[in-house]
Amino acid sequence: MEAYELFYFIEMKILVCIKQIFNLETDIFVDSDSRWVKIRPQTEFTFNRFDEYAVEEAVRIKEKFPGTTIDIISAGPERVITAIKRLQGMGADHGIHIKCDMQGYLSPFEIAGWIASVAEKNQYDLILAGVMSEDEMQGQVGPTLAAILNRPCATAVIHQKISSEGKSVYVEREIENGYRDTLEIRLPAVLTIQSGINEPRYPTLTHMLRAKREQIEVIDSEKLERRDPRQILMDISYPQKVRPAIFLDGSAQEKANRLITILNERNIISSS
Amino acid sequence: MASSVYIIAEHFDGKTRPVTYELASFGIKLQKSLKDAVSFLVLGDDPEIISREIAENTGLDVLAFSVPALKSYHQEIYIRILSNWLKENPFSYVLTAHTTQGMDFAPGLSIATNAGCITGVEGFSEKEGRISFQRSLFNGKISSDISPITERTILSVLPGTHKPMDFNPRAPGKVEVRAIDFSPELIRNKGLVRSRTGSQALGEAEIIISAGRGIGKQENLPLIYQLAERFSKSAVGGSRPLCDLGWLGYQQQVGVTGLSVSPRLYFACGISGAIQHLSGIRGADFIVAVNTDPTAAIFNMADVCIVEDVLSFIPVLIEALDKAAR
Ligand SMILES: Cc1cc2nc3c(=O)[nH]c(=O)nc-3n(C[C@H](O)[C@H](O)[C@H](O)COP(=O)(O)OP(=O)(O)OC[C@H]3O[C@@H](n4cnc5c(N)ncnc54)[C@H](O)[C@@H]3O)c2cc1C
Ligand SMILES: Nc1ncnc2c1ncn2[C@@H]1O[C@H](COP(=O)(O)O)[C@@H](O)[C@H]1O
Repeated sequence: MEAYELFYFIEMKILVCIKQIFNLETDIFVDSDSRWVKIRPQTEFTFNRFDEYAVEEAVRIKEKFPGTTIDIISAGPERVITAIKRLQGMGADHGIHIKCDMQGYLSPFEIAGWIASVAEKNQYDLILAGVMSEDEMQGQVGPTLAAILNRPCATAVIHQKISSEGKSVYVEREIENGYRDTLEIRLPAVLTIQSGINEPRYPTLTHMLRAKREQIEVIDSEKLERRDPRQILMDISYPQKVRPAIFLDGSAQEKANRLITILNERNIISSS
Repeated sequence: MASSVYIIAEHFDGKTRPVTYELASFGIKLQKSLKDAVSFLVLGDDPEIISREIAENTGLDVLAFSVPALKSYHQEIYIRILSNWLKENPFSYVLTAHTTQGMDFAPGLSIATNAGCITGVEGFSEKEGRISFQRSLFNGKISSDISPITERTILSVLPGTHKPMDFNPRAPGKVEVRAIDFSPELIRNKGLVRSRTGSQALGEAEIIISAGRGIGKQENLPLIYQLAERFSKSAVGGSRPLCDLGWLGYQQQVGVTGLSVSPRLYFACGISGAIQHLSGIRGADFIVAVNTDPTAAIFNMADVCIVEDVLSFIPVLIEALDKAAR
């Protein structure tokens, strides 16, 4: 008998959730009513770094399984389109923009709810999100989305491999103390991606041009099923200092000398 | 019916993780405001020993679910068993640890139990009868108060933010073990693997000079090493992004998913002070930070704050150190 290898044509449908954030290295002010932050008008916007790893991972899957399509989705005001297009430039196919005004805090439950409504319609095999957003640092949108959609989920994924039949995905999650937890997860599933899983590529010119031309699908959040928030933001403030710190002043030279004196006083360096 | 606060114990490799006792302290403080009963839920393939230990140490009651399939943490099993129990037993709060374990199941558990979910909680306060939970935003530059507007909420509490109290129990809590047979359908656990063979260098160093993304380029890294050479018993560490970039080895990573260090001096160069990094340096005796951004969160943790560009400041410091040593 002839031995023959089964060959599966795998075409994955992937959704990557991305968030636009503003550059966090600038001044962030508490608004006068303490309800949200204020930034200078010239502050530039970028994307959540963890999401770039997620897009890269999706593009790698597509390279392995041609025929795969990648949608990028983001909820936010008009300006998030810039972030969608930038990440699309890495090699994603479509952009979806859930339009909402995002003045102030929006709970992860509401965001995940909107994405879930869109995802339900489109039947994705795999949904990727960042392990957390650098601005809100909740780590919730991915696993919440998975739970709403009733799909299995793994967080902090540092390695993944789709099975040859395209029915499951092998995943390594990074946990504490230098260990990884290894899992086999049935598809469709949701994974949240940890930094270091890959080296994100720069967008290519051809992809950027295509992204620029391509019409982004805009969905008004008001038209999506409304899920009432389960928590609200009461107020925000500047954090308290953990230690009684001193700020050194003067020129760089003076700061260096002062630091050396302090380190000497504490016997951290010994003067000769 | 009275409502309860349930604490989910975190354990690994047959041992209770210290954060479990931090959760108990948090739970007991919360109870003073709520007057709800506080007890533990423990899941494992053989949870009896650690359940007794927790009951003895805290005086709190423990309900343990013994699940043969639970060789180590498993999201699907955790969510299924906990939500089944919580649906029948009214609760106000469930406390989990904000670790890769708690972060993995807390959101799913909240959906399964129709509860809210607040992650990375550092503390709580009560104003006009309303409880709100503090958590950091924007890389630690802003602190926020989030308040539940549902009856039930799942919290994940940041490790290291609550010192375990002196529980001084008059008597150990009650321990009940229930056997449950449940086989997961969607997620198959294939076991733990070691991903990093830790080097002892960082753990043993008395002085750690650490670099963050603020150093800009790999070519600037020698500057950090040159500074480290000026101190005896020193080592170079760094933040996670530098290890991800391959500029530093993973055995040099400081933070929750790297090493927790407790040197005499921790010198942070161009590190923003994300909570995941800070949790690895809480044990340091003395912290010096150099950052161009005067509002960087690292300055909330440092003893000496220097607002300078690392690239121009370190050469000046090295020269001054050399001069002082002569
Ligand atoms: C589950 C999980 C686990 C994680 N584990 C860890 C961990 O173990 N360790 C860890 O470090 N991170 C960890 N992280 C990542 C963490 O959230 C942050 O992303 C990371 O710590 C940021 O590193 P950084 O401070 O070097 O970079 P950034 O946050 O980008 O900060 C760079 C800083 O450099 C300053 N700067 C820029 N230029 C200069 C200059 N010329 N001179 C001086 N300062 C300058 C900037 O003002 C800024 O404050 C983890 C994240 C997750 C989700
Ligand atoms: N507004 C948003 N639109 C699309 N995806 C988002 C949005 N907010 C968060 N996400 C996704 O959820 C991840 C975790 O965010 P968070 O739960 O806020 O920490 C991010 O890395 C994104 O992948």
